Amino acid sequence: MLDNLLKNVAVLGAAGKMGSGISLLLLQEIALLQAQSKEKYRLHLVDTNEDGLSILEHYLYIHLIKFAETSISRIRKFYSNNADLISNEEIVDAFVQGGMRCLRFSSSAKGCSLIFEAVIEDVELKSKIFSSLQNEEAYFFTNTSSIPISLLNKKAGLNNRIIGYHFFNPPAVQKLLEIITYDTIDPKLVTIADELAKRLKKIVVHSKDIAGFIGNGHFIRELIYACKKVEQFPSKTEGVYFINQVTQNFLIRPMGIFQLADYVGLDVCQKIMGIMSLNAPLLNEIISCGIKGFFQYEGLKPIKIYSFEKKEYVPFPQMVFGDLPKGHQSWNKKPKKEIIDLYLKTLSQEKTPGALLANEFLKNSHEITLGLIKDGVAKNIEDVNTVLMQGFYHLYGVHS
Amino acid sequence: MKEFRKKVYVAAGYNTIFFGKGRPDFDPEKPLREFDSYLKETAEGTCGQLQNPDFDEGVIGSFMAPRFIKQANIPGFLPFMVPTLVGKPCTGVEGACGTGGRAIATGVKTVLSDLADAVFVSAFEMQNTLKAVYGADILAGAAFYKKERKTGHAYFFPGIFADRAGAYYEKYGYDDTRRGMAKWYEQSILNARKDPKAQEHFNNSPNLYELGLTPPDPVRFVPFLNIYDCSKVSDGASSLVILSEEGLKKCGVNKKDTVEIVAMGAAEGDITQSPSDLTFLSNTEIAVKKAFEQAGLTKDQIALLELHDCFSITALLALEAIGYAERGKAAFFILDQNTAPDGTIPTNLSGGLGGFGHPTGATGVRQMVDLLHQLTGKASHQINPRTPYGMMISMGGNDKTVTCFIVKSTLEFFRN
Repeated sequence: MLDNLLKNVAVLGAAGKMGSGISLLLLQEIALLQAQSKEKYRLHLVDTNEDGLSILEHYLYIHLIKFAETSISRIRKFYSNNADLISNEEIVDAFVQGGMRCLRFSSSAKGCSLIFEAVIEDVELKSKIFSSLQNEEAYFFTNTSSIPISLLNKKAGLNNRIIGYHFFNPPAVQKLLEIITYDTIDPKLVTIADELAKRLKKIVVHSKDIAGFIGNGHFIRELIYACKKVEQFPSKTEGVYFINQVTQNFLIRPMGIFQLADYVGLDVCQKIMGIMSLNAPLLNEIISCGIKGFFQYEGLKPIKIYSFEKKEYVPFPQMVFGDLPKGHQSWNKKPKKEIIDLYLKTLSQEKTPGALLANEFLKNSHEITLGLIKDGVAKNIEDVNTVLMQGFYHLYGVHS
Repeated sequence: MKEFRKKVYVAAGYNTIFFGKGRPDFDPEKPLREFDSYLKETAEGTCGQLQNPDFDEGVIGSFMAPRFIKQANIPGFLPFMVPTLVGKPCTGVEGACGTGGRAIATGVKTVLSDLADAVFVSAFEMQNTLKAVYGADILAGAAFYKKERKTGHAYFFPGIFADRAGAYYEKYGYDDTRRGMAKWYEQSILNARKDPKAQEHFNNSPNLYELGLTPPDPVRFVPFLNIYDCSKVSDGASSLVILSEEGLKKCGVNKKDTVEIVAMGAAEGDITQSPSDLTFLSNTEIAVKKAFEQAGLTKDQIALLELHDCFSITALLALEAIGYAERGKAAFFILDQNTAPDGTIPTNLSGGLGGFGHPTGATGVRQMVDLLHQLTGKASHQINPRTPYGMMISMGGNDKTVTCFIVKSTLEFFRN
């Protein structure tokens, strides 16, 4: 059934950051099917940004080649009856050309069987788009990271044919996929969604349909906690810097909580908070100043911090964190579980300023997790940990 | 075959680093070192060991330079490498991965024919110019491409030797064979660690044997072989000099710095035909028998061995083809440490194709250079050979183009 449905697929918001990754994932699957079949497969890429669609086409071409190269053992079998295609080079070329011929740069997804949506996080916009496409044949997959699916279902009149299919950034690389269902969802859609997730080799965590789901359910609450903690510092700038450094270094994460907020986008974080009926005055303040990030960057590296006092980016303040506890290894080294467990035990006993704050964050993370389970958003701690470790690259989860 | 009509010596060998994945400075995203700089380096390395690098001829081997680097007419590079070769006859040689052996053989025959007293022999390959997925197509040219490529595995030659491994497992059992192959891998890397030019010199994995035991993954790679069973994709060049007695005087070479080639056995298989027995290297056996016969030696008189371990299964098969192990027993021969540096037949002391690297065209010359260095006391990882004799087997394709050399050290101390 899925193979048949994949004959006519659309991605809305295809040229965006998430949309392009979702487009690539789907194109890979469709290209595999097309290589094995004489039937025509179509992937409709829809976006209002025409320049973005040109860039997307090139992106898909380059990455489809890489996909073909890494999948060459599998793909060669599809062409075993074609005597003209002998070398890997010829077969990669045939596969990629076949896949690219499936693409249609369309202005609409009307008539498609599977419609994937990755437009901006706006209830009204999503509902409007969905309701214009509503029909009894199509199934809808929304990449929303926080809007309750049942709300979109109701507002757009989709008759239970929509599912939450939240990829993590970047979709083509990140293994994690949050699937969000609700009580009245069409069971066929759940089956299709699960089967597709297997094909896409995703690690699936099922979340209950409560705003924020698991991923943002944890991240946004932790960000709010961090914003609140800033108030305990003599200056907001120092507070942001100290908390960011502690959450990165003492908690052994890829980046600090405020740097992560910058990466997601401050406006996006604010929007998600709104959807979750939550609020962070510090975040509102920096956005109202027209500022795009807590930090200024050189490439991916923060080089300056926004000063709430001076209203400009300034060098990092000199602050006393205390030594990192014994046994610490940076996130880049990917320390093994035994080393991390021992480190966290040592951390729990330390009284340096950095350690004390780190332990507060760990306790808060645990409380957020218990809250997510209590509210039924997550089934268990394992699901939350899967999201944190697969989606946010944490090296360890919350302990039970 | 009788002994040569006159003595033929090997002198002054030089290997460049064999470069590719495994070396810490290898980054496929960055521009690679150009092939001509490898050629220049090996030539200068060899010629720098001679008082008078004045040669009568030059020989250069490469398997697929026209495909990997879009360069043919490679004899034209010999005068670039060695200016005294301007105006001299220069010859290009190709025999797939057995190119190096054939290049040396070409030099030997020229000296034996009295057309030359001093021949500069070199060989090279640059394989990192392409991703492995496309390199596989090029290397498939070592087989009967139009018949075999289409149905062959995506990575072709691992698939060819996976078939041999599968047949061997079926006939002799999997577990002990896998253990022998794992031990072979371990020995290759341990040896490579001792040679700074080896591609795997910096491999410090603590559990080599366990890695060698990794079960093959037929979905991601090939059946019957894991990635540790396979030799490297490499860039590199090697060279040496073939000399008559007159050549020694002309180039100012002291005999103690040479080895004498006492036997040369070559055998060619029909590339259009599949091996009649996948569990045996029949052409290797022929070439080796010829060499032993010419030299008047047995395998037990050989102190040092360089064999063509393009895959670990090939090492087992080669040991059986030579006669060091009965058929089906090579794994035990290796597991009993016979091929270790302090074993009964120290083998591939710089790591072989799996440890030192395998720029396909260059390997045969590299093998001879390694024998030369060990038998003249010049190796970076010197052992004390128990006899003056070393042997190398250079193999092209699936046991098709095979050359076996036996060399003899002239150093005084072997007499004792």
